[in-house]
Formats: sequence, C-alpha cells, structure tokens
Amino acid sequence: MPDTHYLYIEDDRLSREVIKLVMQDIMGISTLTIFENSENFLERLRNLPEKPNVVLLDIHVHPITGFEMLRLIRSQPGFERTKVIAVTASVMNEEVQKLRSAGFDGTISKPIDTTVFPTLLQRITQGESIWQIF
Amino acid sequence: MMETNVQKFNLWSFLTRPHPRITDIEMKRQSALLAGLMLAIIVMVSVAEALLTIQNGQPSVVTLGGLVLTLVLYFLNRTGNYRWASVLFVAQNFLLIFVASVVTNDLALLLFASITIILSAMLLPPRLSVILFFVGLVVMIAIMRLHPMTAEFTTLAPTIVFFVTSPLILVFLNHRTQLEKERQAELREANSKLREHEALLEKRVEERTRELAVAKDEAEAARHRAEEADRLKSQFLASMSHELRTPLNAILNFSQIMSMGVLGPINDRQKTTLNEVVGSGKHLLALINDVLDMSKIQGGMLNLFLEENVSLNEVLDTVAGTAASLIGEKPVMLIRDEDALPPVLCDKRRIQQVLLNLISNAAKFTHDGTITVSAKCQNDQLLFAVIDTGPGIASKDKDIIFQPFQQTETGIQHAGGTGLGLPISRNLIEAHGGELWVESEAGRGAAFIFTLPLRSPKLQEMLHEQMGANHA
Repeated sequence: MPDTHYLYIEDDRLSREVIKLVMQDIMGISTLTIFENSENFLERLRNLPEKPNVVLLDIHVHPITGFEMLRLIRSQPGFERTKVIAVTASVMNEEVQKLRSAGFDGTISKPIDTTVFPTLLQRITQGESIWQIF
Repeated sequence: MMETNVQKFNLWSFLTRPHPRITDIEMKRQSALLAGLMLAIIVMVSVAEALLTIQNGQPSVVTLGGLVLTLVLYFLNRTGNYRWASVLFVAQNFLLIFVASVVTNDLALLLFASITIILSAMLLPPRLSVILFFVGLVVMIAIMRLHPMTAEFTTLAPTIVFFVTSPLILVFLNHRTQLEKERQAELREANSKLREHEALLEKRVEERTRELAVAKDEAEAARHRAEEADRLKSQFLASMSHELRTPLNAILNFSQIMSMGVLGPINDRQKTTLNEVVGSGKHLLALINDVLDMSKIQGGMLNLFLEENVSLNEVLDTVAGTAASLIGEKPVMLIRDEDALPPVLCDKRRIQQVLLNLISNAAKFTHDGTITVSAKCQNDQLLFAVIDTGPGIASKDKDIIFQPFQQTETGIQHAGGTGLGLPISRNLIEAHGGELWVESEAGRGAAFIFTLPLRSPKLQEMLHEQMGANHA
C-alpha cells in the first residue's frame, strides 16, 4: 500500500514539536509535511510534491483560519477525499458542532494523548471519522 | 291597539308640537302646554257657540270674537312666538273674567280669576305672574268699588278664594320650577365633573403609556446588555480553555515522549520522575477542566452535546477499564452488575465524566472490599449506582459533598480533589433531567445513585436547538 502523506498546519511551536516527535520518532512516519502558518496556503498546497491523504490542522492559525483552509482544500480537484482533521485545544460543544457542520472529518483535542494518538491516526487513514474530544 | 294609540298620539303631538326655533326645554314644554290648552278652549268654545246659535237662532258675537282671538293666539304660539302668545292668552283670560263679571253683575265669576293665576304661573315667568296677581287684585277691588254690590259673604267669597289660593299656587308652582332648575344645575355640574374626570383619566392613560414605552425601552436595553455580557463570558471561557490547555499540551506530551525513551535512553529513576511530572500534569488538567466546568455551570452556560442512540454499555466498559488502574494494588474487587441498556439520547462524554467521577471517588476512598457498578433499566428511566465498602458518609456531610469548593474531613485527608467533582456530576445529571443522590451511613460504605430519563421532551427540544444552531 502506498505511503500515506500527511500535512500538518500549526503555528504553535511546542505543538509542532510534539506532533513531530509522536509521528516521526514514535510512529516512524517519514511522509509528514508541516506548515508553520497558513500564509499563501493555497499556493503552498498546490506546490506540494505529493498530495496529502490526511491533513491535520489547528483552527486558530493566521492569516487564514482552519475553516477557510478546509474550504480551500475541498475546492481543489483531487482533494475531495482528503481527510481533514481539526487538532485544537479549544473544544467546547458549540465548536464541535461548527466543525462537524463545516465538513471536517473529525477532531482531536489538545493535549493529545500520545498513547492513543497513533491508533487514532491509523483509524483515520483507514477512512474512519474520529470525533475524539476527550 | 298599539297602532291606533300611536296614531292618536301623533295627531295630538302634531297639533301641539312646539316650533323648532324654541331651544329652551322649559319653554318647549310650556309652548306645547299652551297649544293644548288653547285647543281645548277652541273645542269647548266652538261647542258652546254652536249650542248658543241653536238656542238663540243666531251666533253670539262675543263668543265668536273669543274664538277668533284664541285661534290667532294658537297660531302665534305655533309659529314660535311663545312669549307674546302666552302673555296675550293670560291677559285675554283675565279680561274675559273681569268683563264677564261686570256685564253679568255677578261677582262669583271673579272666582275664575284663580284659574288665571294658575295659568299664568304655568305659562309665564314668575315675576310676571306676581305682577299679574297684584294687578288683578287692584282691578278686582276697583270693580267692587265702582260697582257697588251687596257685600255679602257669598259675593266676597270669590275674592277671598282668589286672594288666598293664588299666592299659594304661585309659590308652589315657583317651587316646582326652582326644583327643576336646581336639578338641571345638579345635572350640569355632574356632567362637567364627569368630563373633568374623563380628561384626567385620559391624561393618566397617556402618562402611563409613555411610562410603559420608556420601561419597555429600558428592558430592551437591559436585555441587550445581559446578552452582551453572556457573549463576553462565553468568549472568555472559550479562550481560557484554549490558553490553559496549550501549555499543558507541551508539559504532558514532552514528558510522556521523553519517558518513552524516544529522545534517548532513560534510566529508571528518570522514568519515574518523568511519570510524576505527567501525573501532576494530568491532575492539573483535571483541575482546570473542573474549574472551567464549574464556571460554565454557575454562568448558566453549560451546554450538553447531545447524541442519539448512545450505548451506555460501551461507556461503562471504558470506565471500568480506567477503574482498574485507579484501584491499583489495593485489595478491592470491581464488580459489574449491568443490564443490557437500550440506546439513549444523552451527552456521552458527560455521562462518562459522571461515571468516572463516581468510580474514582469510590476507588480513592475504598481500601478493601468491593466497588459495584450497576446499571438497570427501570420503566422509563435508567438507574445507575456505584456502591463501595469504604468509610461511608455521615448524614451531616451528605449535603456538603454536593456543594462546590467544600470537602468533608475525610475528603481533605485524601489529597487530590477539587471538591468540584460531585457538584459538577449532579449538575450534569440534572441537565439531562435526571437525579443524583447518595445513600450512606458512616462506617457502612456509600451508594451513589443517578437516573437518566429514557424519553425526555426537554432533551428532544435541546437536540432540535442544537441541530438548529448548527444549520444557522
């Protein structure tokens, strides 16, 4: 099976470090791309050598928000089946509703549980929608 | 029968109707009265004339003259000249009597002068009647002087009668007129008072309406302020959530990763120390979550995230797994006594939170014995219980444990609580329409029990609102 390509957009340095450690060091994933902000998002997305299968993003990034990024991703040909997961520290019930209705395929709340995260990622890659809010 | 009466009445009222140009009510009536009297006289005199003509073979000129005069006066009255008609009528009457008595040399006729006084009292203004009375008196005395007649009692009688009764009648009729006038004045005053009152009421109503409008505006403004305050609170809690969790992310994850040896080999002591860091971090996270939950509850902003067809058996499985680690090495056995539960509408995460809270309390305080988790379906509700064989709860403490920020003696001794777990759990259950309570005695363990309704219209409505807000 071809490698799954991951894209992660996060402006918090520490959060990036954590995900890098978990995905690269613990899970051994080598196909992870990280954007440190959402500037020129569409251009950078198009310029990626490989289309990501799974996009993890933080809602509260600048200048383009997570919702806007989702919309841009979906508007691109070939990205209709890309799994887009919101990774966010602010998870209140109203927000989960908003995420759901915006069309996200799931959400994982921060702080992530490093013991569970790998399994979750696997399930997502296999096509499941995860709404892990605790 | 009614028809003829109406017809008759119409004829009479036609003949005695006052002229429209008379506006005063009293004069209208007087005009009608005069007309009636004159009609009667005309009829009687006509009949008398007819009889006299038959008897004498020729009509009496005097009677004819009187008839004509009366007719003239009738029409005068009919055309609205009431004053002239009435004065002339009374004068004619007076003259007739005096002339008749002189001509017939019969003083007895003077008796009829009383009738004239009555007529004048009815038809003329009071002052005129008084003048007429004295004039009549003078004339009467003059006649008696100029025509010396036997001054017998029988001839004096008319004078006396006239003399005595007329003033009485005058006074009486005057009294009636005055009474009438007073009544009218009273009525007018009552009317004007009423109108004053009306005006006052209208003013009051206007005032009140203005006050209400102002109050309504103020209420609107207050409502907007309250809504704004709520919005700010909500925003604050949301951002607080974010701000507090982000650094914790770093603490927990980096420590976990390090302790897994991902960044290099770790010796046992380092591993243990890092686990302490993780433990504290998790504890801090629990505290933050509890405080945020309590803020939401106290701010009335706790919203459930409702899902349909939740399998609480699965939730119980998850929680039971955690229970084992909470019990640790203690000689405590976990017993599960659960029925197969029907799917239910609830906030899965929050029910898990409640179960976890109850079980971790039980695990914390029970040092040996059993912890039983039971779940039953009872008519239209689910019944959950967490029963332990720990120290139990004294009745004085049963209320305290559900109060925020308060712990019992025993509770404080077992460090590691916020005192918020139970109050939050109770609020969460009550938000679902259920109840949470404890049954316990000191030294005899404790049973924490809660119910969840299976079909709740309140929850259904909340679900609709939740979905509605979604699509908004």
